[in-house]
Amino acid sequence: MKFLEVNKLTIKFGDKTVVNNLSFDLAAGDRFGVIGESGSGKTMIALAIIGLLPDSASFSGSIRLDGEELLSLGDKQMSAFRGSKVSMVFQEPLTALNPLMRVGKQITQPLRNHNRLSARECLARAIELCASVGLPDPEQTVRAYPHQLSGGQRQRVGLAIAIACNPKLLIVDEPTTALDVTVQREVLQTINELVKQHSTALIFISHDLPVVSTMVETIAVMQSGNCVEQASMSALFDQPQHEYSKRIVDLARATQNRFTTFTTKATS
Amino acid sequence: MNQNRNLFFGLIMVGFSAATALLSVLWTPYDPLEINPDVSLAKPSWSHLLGTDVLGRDVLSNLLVGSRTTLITAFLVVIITMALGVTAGISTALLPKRVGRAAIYAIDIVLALPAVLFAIVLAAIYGPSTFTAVIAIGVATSAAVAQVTRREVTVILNSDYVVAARACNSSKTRIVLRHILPNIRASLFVQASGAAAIAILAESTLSYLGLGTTPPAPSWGRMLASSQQYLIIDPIVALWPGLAIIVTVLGFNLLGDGLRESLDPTLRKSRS
Repeated sequence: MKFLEVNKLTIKFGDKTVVNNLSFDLAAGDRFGVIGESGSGKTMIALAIIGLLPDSASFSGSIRLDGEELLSLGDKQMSAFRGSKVSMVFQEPLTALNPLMRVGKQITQPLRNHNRLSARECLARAIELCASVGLPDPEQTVRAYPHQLSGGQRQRVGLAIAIACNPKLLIVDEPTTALDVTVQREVLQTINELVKQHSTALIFISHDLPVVSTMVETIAVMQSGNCVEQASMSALFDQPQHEYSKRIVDLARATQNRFTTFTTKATS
Repeated sequence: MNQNRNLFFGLIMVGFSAATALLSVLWTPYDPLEINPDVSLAKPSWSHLLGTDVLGRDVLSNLLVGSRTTLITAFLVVIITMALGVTAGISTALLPKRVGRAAIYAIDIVLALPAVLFAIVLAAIYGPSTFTAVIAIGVATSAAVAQVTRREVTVILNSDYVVAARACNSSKTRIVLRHILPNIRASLFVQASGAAAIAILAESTLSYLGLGTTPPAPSWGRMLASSQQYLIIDPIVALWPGLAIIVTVLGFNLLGDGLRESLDPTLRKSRS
C-alpha cells in the first residue's frame, strides 16, 4: 500500500484555481520533488497535506496518509498527525521562528504538544536534536534567541523542530532559497542524511532544478497550478516531455555549461 | 545605563509620585482641608513651603494627598483599560472574519465616543465621583487599546512562526499564551503606561470640569481648576499641581518606553 496518496487535489481561492487536479503517490521513504515558478501553487500543496490551508481556500479531491483521509478530518483529528506524522520546514528561517523564544524551547514544542515531558528531558532532547542537525555547540545554542543565529543555523533549527517527533513524512518548502550557496549545500546534506537515516518520506518543494535534482528521485513540474509533467529525475533530464520542462532543463544545463566554461577559463 | 535611560528616569519620576502618595498617608505638614483665611494666597515660605491657596489651605499638603487620588485613578484605569482592551483585541482577531468585523464596528463606536461625554452621562446618572471618572476613562481608552492589540495580533497570526507552531500541533490557547502575548508584550507595556498618562490627564480634566473627584477631596485637576481664578493675582499656585501632573505623566511615558526596550531581546546588549 502507498504511504501517501494525493488524488485529484484541487485548491481554489474564490474563482482562482491555484492547484488543479494534482495526483501523485509516495511509498514510505520515497523522495519526491515539486518544482515550479513562484505562484504555481507549490506551497499550497504542502499546506493542504499538513491541513493548514487558509480559511479562504476551498478544496476537493483526496489526500490519504497511511490509509487515512486527511482532507475530511476536523482540526482536532488532524492535530494528531501534525508534527508527529507529517511536519514541515518553512522557507524563511527567520520569520518561521518566534523572535522572543529561546530556540531550545521552540525545538521541543512539538514534543511537548504530543507527549508529556519534564523540563529536563526536553532540554536533553533539544540538545540532542541540535547536535543531530549539525548546529555548533548545542548546549549554548539551545539558550540562544533566533536573532543570535546565522541564516543557515536558523534553518537548521527549523529542521530540528520538524524532525523532533520523528515524522514519517517531511515536507520542505524551499528550505534553502534564503541561504547562500555554500550554506545551502551543507543544509541540503544534513536533510539528506536525516531522511536516509530515519527512512522518512520527503517532499521537496523548490524553484531551483539543480538543487532539487540532488535531493529527489521523482519530480512533478508545476506551471500555474497544473502539474504538466511527472517523471523520474533521470527521465526528466533525458527526455523532458512538456515545453515548460524542456525550458527549465535547458536553462539548468546552460547555467551549468556557462559555469564550467568560466571555471576552465579561469584555471587555464 | 545609556540603553535604559528612559526606564531609569521613568522609574524615578513615577517612584517620586508614589512616594509622595505613601508619605501623605503617614504625614502631611497641615491638615489639607483646614481653612485659614489669615494666610490666603500666601507666598511660599518656611511655614508653608509651597504657599497656600485662596482659602488658606496648605498647597503642599493638598498636593501630597492629591497624588493618592491621581495614582489610584491611574492604576484602576490601567487595569480596566488593559483587561477590556486586550481581551477584546485578541478575541476579535481570533474570531471568524464576519463576527470579528461586527465586533470591530462596535469598538469603533466606543472609540468615537469622547471620554468626557461618557463621563458626563455617568456623572448625570450616578453623580460625579472619582469612581465614575475611572469607569468612563477606562472604557473610553480601552477601545484604542483593543484596536492596536487587534492589529498586532493579526500580524502575528499570519506570521510564519504561528503557522509553524500550528504545523507542530500547538493548541489555540498555547499559541495565544506562548507566541502572541510575548510578542505583543512590549506594545502592551507602552499602551499601559500611555493609558496611565492619559488617565491622569483625563482625571484632571474631569475634576477640573467638576465631573470627577468632588470637593473637598483634594485632586491635582481640581487644584488647577480653582487656582485658575486667581491666576493673575497669584500665578504660582497653579504651577505646583501643573508641575506634579507633568512629572507623573512624563514619568509613565518614559517608563513605558524603557520597559519596551528592556523586554526586547534584540535590543539587549549581551547574549543572555
